[in-house]
Amino acid sequence: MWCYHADTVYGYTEMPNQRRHIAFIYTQESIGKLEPVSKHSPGVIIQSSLLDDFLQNPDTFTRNADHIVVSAPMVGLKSVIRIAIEHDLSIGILPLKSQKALSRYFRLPDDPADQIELALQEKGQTRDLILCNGELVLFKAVIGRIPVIDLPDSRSPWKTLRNVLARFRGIRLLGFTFVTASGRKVETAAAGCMIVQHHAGSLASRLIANDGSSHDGMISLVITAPLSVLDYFRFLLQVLKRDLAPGKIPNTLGYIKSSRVIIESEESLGVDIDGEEVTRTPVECEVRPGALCVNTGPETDTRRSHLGDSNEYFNIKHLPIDNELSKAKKKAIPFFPYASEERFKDLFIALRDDARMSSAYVMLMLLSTLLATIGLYQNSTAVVIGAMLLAPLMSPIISFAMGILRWDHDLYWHSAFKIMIGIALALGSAALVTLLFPHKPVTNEMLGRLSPSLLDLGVAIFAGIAGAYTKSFKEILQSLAGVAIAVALVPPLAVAGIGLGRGDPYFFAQAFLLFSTNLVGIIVFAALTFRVLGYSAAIKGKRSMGYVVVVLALITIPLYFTYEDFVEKNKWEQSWQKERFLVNGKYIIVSKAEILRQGDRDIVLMDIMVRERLSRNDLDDFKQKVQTNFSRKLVIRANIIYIL
Amino acid sequence: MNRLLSAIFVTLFFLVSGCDGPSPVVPGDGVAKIGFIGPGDGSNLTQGQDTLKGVLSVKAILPMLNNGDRIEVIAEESGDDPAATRRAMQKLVQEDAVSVLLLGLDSERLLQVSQFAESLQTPAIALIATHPDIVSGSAYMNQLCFDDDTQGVVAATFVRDELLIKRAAVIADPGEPHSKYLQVAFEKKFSDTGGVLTGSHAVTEVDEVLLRNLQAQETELLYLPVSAQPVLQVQSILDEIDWSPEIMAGDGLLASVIGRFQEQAGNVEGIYATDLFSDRGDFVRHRPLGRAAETSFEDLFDSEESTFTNLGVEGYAIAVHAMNQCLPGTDRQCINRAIRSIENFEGTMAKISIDSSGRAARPVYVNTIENGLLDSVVKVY
Repeated sequence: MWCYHADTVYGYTEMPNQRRHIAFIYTQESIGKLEPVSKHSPGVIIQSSLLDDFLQNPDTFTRNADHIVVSAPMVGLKSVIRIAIEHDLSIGILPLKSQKALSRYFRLPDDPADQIELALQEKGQTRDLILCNGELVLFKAVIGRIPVIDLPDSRSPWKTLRNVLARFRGIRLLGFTFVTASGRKVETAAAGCMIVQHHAGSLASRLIANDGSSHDGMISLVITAPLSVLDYFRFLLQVLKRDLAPGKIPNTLGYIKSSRVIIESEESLGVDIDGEEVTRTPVECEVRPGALCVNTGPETDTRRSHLGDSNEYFNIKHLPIDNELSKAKKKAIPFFPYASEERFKDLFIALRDDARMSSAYVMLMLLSTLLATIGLYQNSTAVVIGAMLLAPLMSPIISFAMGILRWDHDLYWHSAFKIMIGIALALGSAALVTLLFPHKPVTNEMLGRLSPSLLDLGVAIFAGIAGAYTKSFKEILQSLAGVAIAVALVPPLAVAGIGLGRGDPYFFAQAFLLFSTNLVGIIVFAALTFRVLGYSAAIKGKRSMGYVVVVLALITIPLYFTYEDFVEKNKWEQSWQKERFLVNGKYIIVSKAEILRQGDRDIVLMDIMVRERLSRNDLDDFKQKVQTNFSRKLVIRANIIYIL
Repeated sequence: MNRLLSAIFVTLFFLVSGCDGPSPVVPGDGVAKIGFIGPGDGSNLTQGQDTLKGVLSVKAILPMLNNGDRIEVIAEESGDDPAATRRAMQKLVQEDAVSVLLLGLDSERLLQVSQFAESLQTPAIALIATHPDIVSGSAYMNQLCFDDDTQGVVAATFVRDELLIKRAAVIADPGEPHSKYLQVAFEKKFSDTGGVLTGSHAVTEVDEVLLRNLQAQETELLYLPVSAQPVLQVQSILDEIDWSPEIMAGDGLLASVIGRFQEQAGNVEGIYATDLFSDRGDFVRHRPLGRAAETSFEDLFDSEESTFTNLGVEGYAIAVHAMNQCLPGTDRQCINRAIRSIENFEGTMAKISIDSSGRAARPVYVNTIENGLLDSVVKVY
C-alpha cells in the first residue's frame, strides 16, 4: 500500500506497468457509484462486492487487493476499516449523501467525480486509531451530557441556542474518575466528557485550540463540569458570540491528553461513539498510532506545537475536586454558583471581624444617633446626612446576611448581637435626648419617617444589594454603600427613639416599622446578592433564608396598607387639580392640597381660590363637602386667595 | 420551627378566609314592583329608551330585595300628551301596585303631571328632569339630577373663573322650562361675578346677522342651554361665518346628538357641557355600581351607554336601596322617607344625597366633547 506520513514516505517503489487491484465495497444505498467507479479506473482492476458478501468472506476480496474503496453506512464502514487494518490495506472512502460528518472528517471533496478520484488514489495518509472498549472511534466518543461542545463550530448561533436549550434540562454532575497512561488519577464531578478525534470544525476542537491531531498518538478528552446554570449560560454566550480566546480553556471545561484513558463513572453511563451507543462505562480508550491508512483531502496543520504533541497534558483547574467534589456530585447544577470557604477566605475573615463587638462601634453608634436626633429636631437634612456618614451599621448587617445565607451560626449570632446592641444604643440615646429637651417639636424631617410604605422597602432593597456588592469587591469604596445603608436605618431609628422619649406609641411604632422594614430588606437582598455572586454554601441554608423571607413577608403586610394609603393620598392630592366646590353659589377652586397624617387625624393643608367673599357658614359647608370624600376626621387649614 | 411556621400560615389563612362578604340572598316567593314611565316616541324617545336600558342593566345584577322577593319592573309609555302620561301613572300605581315610580320624562312633561303624581301618594324619582319646580312643595316627587339652578350657576362660574371669560351671550329656548331656567340662572350669576352679557336671545332668533352682531361685540362665549338641534344649527352658521367662540351647553347634549344626529356628532367637538357624568378623564373613577352596571349593559345591549343609561341605573339602585329599608318593600310612605334620607349613596360615578325636600345633591361635571365622548374638565361638588 501507499501511505504518507506528514514527514516520511512509506511504501514500495512503484513498479511500471503494474496494475493495481482495488476492492470496491458498496451497499444498496451506494449502488449508484458502481458504474462511475468502474469507468473511472484506467490502470486498475476493480473487484466490486456488496458489503454483506464482503463481510461474509473478506479473504476472497482482500487476497489480491492493494486497496479498498468503501461506500457504506457507518457500521459497515467501520467493519471494512477493521478488515483493511487486519490485512494491512489502505482505504478510500466514498461517502453517502447523508455522511457529511464523514466527508468533513476526512476532508473529502464535494464533487462525486473528485471523490472517486481521491478514493482510488494510490497515496493515503496514516491516522491514529482510537478504540474504546474495542469499538472504533472515528470522530468522537461522548459519555454523559455535553450540550454545545459536540456541535459543529460553523453552526448558526440560533441553531446552537435551540439545540442547547433542548438538551440542557436536568443536567447534573456525576462522579467521574479518569486514569491516564502514566497512571495519574483524576477524580472529579462532571456532566460528561468527550473524546475528540481531531474533530476538525467542531467547537470541541476550537476549545482545545485544535490541539488534537490525528497522528500524535494521543487521545484528546474534553470534560464539561458547569458548576451553575449561570456559569453554563455564560459559557454559551461566549460560544454564540465567538468570544473564546484561542487555547484558553473556558472555566466550565477540563482537558486531558494521554495515549490511554480509563474512564469510570459513579453510575453506569452509555458511551456514544460516532452517534451510536455501543458500550457503557467503565470504558478504556487507547490509541493505535498510525494504524489506519486512508485517502484524505489536503491537511491543514493546525496543531499547536507548544502544548506538546505526544506528552500527557492536564488542564483540570476548573473541575471540582476535594471538598467541592462531595458537594457537587449527584445534584442538579444549581442556578447560582456556590463557593467554598477556601476560595473566598479573605471576605469571610473580614465579615467575621465585622461581626465582633468593639468599642469603636459603640461610640460611633452613639455619636451618629445623637447627631441624627439633633438634626431631626433642627429639621436639618444636612445634619441628618452627616449622622448617616458616621453610622457603623453596614458591617454587622452584611455579616448577618452572609451568616444567614451560609447558615454560619457563629457569624449570624455575633452579627445579630451586634445589631441589637446598636439598636438599643440608638433608641436609648435618642429617647434620652428627647427627654432632656424641654421643647419637643415635630418637624417635617420626623414626619417624613412616620409613613413607611413599600417604596421604603425599595430603598432597603437597593441599599442591601449595594452593601453586599461593595463588600465583595475590595476595589470599590465600601463607605459609599455604608452611607446608603445608613440612609435607610439611622433616621428612622432616631425617630423611633424620639417617639419613645415623647411617650408616643404611634410615633415609635411607625418609625420602628420603617426601620424594621429597611433592616429586613437590606438583610434579605444582601444575602441574595451574595448568592448571585457565588458565595452561597453548596448545601444551601434554605431554612435560614426561609425564616428571613417569612419575616419580610409579614412586614410587607402593614407596608402594603400604608402604601395603599400613600397611593390614595397621592391620588387625592392629584385630584384637586380637577375638582371644584360650589358652596352656596360660590365657586371654589382648590389650587393646592396636601394631606399630613398626625396620629389618627388627617390634616389637609390647602390653597383655595374664590371670586366671592366666603362667610363662616360657607366655610363650614365647604368643609362638610370635603369631608364627604374621607372616612377619617379632617382638620382643614385653608389659605384663601381672592380672584379679582 | 416548621410547626411554628405552619401554625402561622394556617392562622393567616383563617384570618383571611374570615373576611368574606355578606351571605348570598335566598330567593323567596314574593314580588316587589317598580314602575317605569318613559317616552315611547318623539324627540325624547332616545332618552326614554336609554334610561330604561339602564334600569334593566342594573336589575340584572340586583334582581331581588334583601328578603329574597323578586323585583319586577313594569314599564309604560308616557304617550303623546299629559293625559296619556297620567293614565300610565294611574295604571302602574293602582292596577299594578308598584311601590316606586321611576320617571324617565323631561322637565316639561313632568311639570305638566306633577300635581297628579302627587295625588297618587307614591314615591317617584324623576330620573332626567332638572327643573326646580318639579320637587317644590312636593311630598312624593324626588329628583335624581342636580337642579337647573345649580347647573346654571356652575356653568357661569366655570366660564368666569376657569375660562376667565368676561363677555358672553346666551341663546335659549324660552318656551322650554328647562332651557329658560338655565338661562336665568346663568345670566344672573355671570353678571353677579362681573361678567358682561353681550346678548340674550331666543333660539328662534338665531341667524347669521345675529351671530355676526355678537361677534362684533367681542363675545367670547355662547351659552346654549338648548337641545341638540339648535346647537347644531348654531354651529353650522358659525362655521359659515368663520367664527369660533367658546360654546357652553347644558346636560344631555351629547347623548341627544348621538341618539338622533349621529352623523353630525363631529360638529359638537370641543364644546363644553355640564353633565351628570363623564366618560373619561384623569380622575373619573367608576364606582362599583358603575362598573358592574357597565358590564351588565354590555352583556344585554348592543349600544353605547349614555348619561340617561347611568341615570336609569342610579334610579333603580336608589329605589331598591329604599325598598330594602322598608321590607317587604310595599310601604310607600316608608320608601319615600327612605329616599329622602339618602346620604352619600354610591352612584355610578359620584356620591348622591337626597334631602328632605326631594332635591339631589351631587357633583356636576363640566366636560368637553372629544371624539364623541365626554372628556371631563372639572368635577364640581
